[in-house]
Amino acid sequence: MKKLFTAVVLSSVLLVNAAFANKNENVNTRVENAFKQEFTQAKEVSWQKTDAYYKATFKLNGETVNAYYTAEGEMLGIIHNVLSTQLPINLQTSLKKEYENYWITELFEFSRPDSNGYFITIQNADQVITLQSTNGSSWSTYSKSKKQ
Amino acid sequence: MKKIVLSLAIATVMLSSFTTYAADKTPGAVVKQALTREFSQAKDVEWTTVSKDGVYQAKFTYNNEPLQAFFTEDGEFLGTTRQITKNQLPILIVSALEKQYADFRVATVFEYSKTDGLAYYITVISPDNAMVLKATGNGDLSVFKKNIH
Repeated sequence: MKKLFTAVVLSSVLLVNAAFANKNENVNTRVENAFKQEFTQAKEVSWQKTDAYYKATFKLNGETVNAYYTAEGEMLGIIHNVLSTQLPINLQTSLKKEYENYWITELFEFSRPDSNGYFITIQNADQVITLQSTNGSSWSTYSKSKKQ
Repeated sequence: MKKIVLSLAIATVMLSSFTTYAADKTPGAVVKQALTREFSQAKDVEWTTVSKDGVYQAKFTYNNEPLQAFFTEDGEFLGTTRQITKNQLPILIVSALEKQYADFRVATVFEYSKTDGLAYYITVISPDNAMVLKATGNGDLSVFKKNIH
């Protein structure tokens, strides 16, 4: 399931929603109930569906959030964009020390029922790097590629 | 031992009754170097000791916000605390607060970063109760201290 969520994250965020054909899909009762139970204060909810999962886009506390569910109502995870200043301080200092000459092109928090963390994509003139943190203290390299 | 002392120091920071043992005590060069290594852009640094066992606290400005960092007298970096807003919390914690503490409002939030992990201390208040909660990023909440009125 962890692998599925990682695939979801990459397909829907890093690859810009290519998987979704329709917006405002109807969801089954199990998914809807699971969502309402988890996010009692959610507003402006809309749903999208693929063969593998449902995606809810909504506002929580003024922030836009995406939550992913299986058709059985199991929550796969949540993602939402954050600012670099919202990162835990150890992750901010690590970026400044180790990637001083890079700029940020993508940054979001992901949460699964069993863990949470951050994905960040940074680049300089030569390469693009995606880093992942699951402990809130340090980054590990998720992918690295040279610019063409 | 020093990590236990640090935890107690953190607890007192969260409860706003922080006691220093020797006001404005300046640490040795090794501790100052450790601060510079971890936070090269720290400004307006003030030092105090937070225990008799040689844990130093640096209060400073970093990225235009106040921050506290803790070091041993040997220059070992123990962790940081900073005050953040509810909106800076991981989304599952926000969701858990709204489900489990709907009748409370969030008064203060502290992020506590150690070298090996991260936790949040959240003071919540209702008309007749106030408490400090401890939270982890996946939305687990536990009561850290009850009845802090």
